[in-house]
Amino acid sequence: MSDWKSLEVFGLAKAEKQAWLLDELNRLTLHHQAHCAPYANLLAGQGQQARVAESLDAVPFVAARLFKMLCLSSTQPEDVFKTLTSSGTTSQVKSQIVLDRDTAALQSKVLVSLLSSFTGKARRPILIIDHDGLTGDKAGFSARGAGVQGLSFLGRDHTYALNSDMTPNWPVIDEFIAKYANAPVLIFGFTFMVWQHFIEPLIASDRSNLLPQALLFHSGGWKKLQDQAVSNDAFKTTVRQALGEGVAVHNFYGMVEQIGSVFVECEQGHLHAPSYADVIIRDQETLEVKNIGESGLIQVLSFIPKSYPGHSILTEDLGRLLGEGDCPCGRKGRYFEVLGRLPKTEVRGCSDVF
Amino acid sequence: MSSNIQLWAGSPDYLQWSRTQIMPFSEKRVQFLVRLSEVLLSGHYSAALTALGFWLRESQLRQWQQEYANDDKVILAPVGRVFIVSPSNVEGLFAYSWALSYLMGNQTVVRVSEQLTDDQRALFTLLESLDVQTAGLSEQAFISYDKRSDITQKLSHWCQLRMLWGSDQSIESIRQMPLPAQAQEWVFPDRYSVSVLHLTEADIPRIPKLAEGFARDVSTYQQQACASPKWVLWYQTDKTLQQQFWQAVDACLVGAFPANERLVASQYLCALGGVKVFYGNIKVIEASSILGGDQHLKGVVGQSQCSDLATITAQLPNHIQSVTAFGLDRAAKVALMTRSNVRQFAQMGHALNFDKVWDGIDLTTILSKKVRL
Ligand SMILES: [Zn+2]
Repeated sequence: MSDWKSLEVFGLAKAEKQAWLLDELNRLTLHHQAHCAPYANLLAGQGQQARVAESLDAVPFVAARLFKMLCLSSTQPEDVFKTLTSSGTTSQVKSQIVLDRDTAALQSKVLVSLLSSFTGKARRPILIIDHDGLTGDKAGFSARGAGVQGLSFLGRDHTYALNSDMTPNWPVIDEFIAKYANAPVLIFGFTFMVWQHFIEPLIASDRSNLLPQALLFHSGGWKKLQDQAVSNDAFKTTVRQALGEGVAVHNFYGMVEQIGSVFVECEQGHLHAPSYADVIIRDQETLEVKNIGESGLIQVLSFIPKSYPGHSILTEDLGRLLGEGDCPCGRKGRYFEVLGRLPKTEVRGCSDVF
Repeated sequence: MSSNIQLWAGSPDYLQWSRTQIMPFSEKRVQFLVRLSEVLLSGHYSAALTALGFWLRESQLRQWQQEYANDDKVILAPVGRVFIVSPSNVEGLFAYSWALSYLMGNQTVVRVSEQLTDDQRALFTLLESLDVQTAGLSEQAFISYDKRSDITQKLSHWCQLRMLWGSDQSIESIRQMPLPAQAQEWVFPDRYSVSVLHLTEADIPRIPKLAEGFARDVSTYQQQACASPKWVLWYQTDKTLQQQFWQAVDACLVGAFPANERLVASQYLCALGGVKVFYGNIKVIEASSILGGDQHLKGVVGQSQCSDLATITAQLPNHIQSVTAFGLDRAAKVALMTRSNVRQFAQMGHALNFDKVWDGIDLTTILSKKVRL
């Protein structure tokens, strides 16, 4: 089997990709079955033991919420390098993702290879729309911190744009702008933070056309912006108004349970599955596989997770499969869009007044 | 500290209410509840509120009145000032404990969650309009407030009885606030409930009816009430009958639970060692003992096989509340309760029917005092 590094990020045709990814995933299923007892139980309890999947959609999946209810780990305690937690609000139970050194390293390497197919090999100066101080604490490593750290490998001259109270750090921002106004730079942040703590204040302060050669990566969901009726198009238009007409804006979709394999939006506005990962849309009632054009729950597949059984996860996000191998941008593989979260069934249970 | 108190119904000056001479079953209060019941039964309200209306029907109230009639040895009197903290997971619950407190002649402050459900809104609107007509709620208040507020502390000093319904965590948190020595406290913490079923060939004709009842017990409140059965303990029952039962239950639960909830719940129980034995509108996971009791799962029921009563009681957790039972005689029930903490039995289909004896406690008794003559 060829090493992932030899694969072209968006260059595998359907059959080659099936062959490569399926083999990786089947190996991971067996690995986790042997090293994670709850995962082995889960397969056995569902009648899926000792089965080698013959197609990607036959790879057993784990419901994303299980990572919040159980510690699913295939790593010996002494080999745990760090534990990632989702950045949910404090009232929510957080996901716990156990990483060993190899998996953590693979996550960053894959992420860099994936994103640099958009940015080019040269390391650009990077403006991070967050505050410094997210990546320190290993034990309580947050997904936000991990995202920032993952992206930081792509850039140089890391500059944090915000103060710890989330207000723009103007002196730092202005210095960055002065230094790199005519250079290709990278900007990264979580969608809502980019909007609220960077773009809106920039516009309010009458700054415009500041970093015309920037490439902005942003991620983290549209929920809060949808509440403010900001669409992806409006977001892009406003970003370009503030930073420059030629600015490239790429949203990406990924989850804390599968850091490293992200689905980046192309110039057509489509989220693309890279060679190392894939996406399957399932009917939200029957869980049957859906076809191109249809919407349902998003299942994500990734060859990265070796330290925990997260190589095939059924998310609680809804999406629509848009096509495979034929996006006008030229990238191969599947492309899709995210439609939002599965409507929450009313929270009752332990929630009570106090 | 600002309290952000919201008053949903009743009167706002509860901390200044003066002593009254209202006695249990005062005619004015009975009439208020009768009127409330009549409106709730008018057909314009949800199933949950209609059930409340039925529970408060006049014949029922009069029956209680007789049951608690004074004799020449003791006279029933109110406790006085009652503070009820109600949970949000069973949104109608506050109304039941409040109605009993009211009926027993108490001044009552009820705290509900800040996020009102549609049913709660409808009920408060109705209570307000009845209050305008009758002034029946002049010594009652339904409020909500921010949990960081100091009002819990104030009301804990004000009351003579504090009644807490909710999760263990929230009860322990409220208990951090001291209660004066002269006040009583009753708590209704997290509980777990199961079903114990004993079916024989002779019961086959009854399976559809039993299944319908079981389906009602699990679908009401989406299995999230303490009394909702989460596990079925099969007592000396043939597996083919179990399968028939699940098929009949399944037919009653079309669309009752979202697919993703069923998936999450069943995967969780499988990960803990269960095995899926029935897959449909509800999923059934078999294991040798109860699993996952600390999670709030939806759309899944566990089951285990029990050849004798001792294997049943060995499985029941300490916080067991209700056993929805079929095929158990009195002796079997006594055997179960003496070997476990079972607090109540219910018939199939009636697991969530509120009763004034709840969780092993006679609420009318604790909401009143018996004054010896
Ligand atoms: Zn494309």
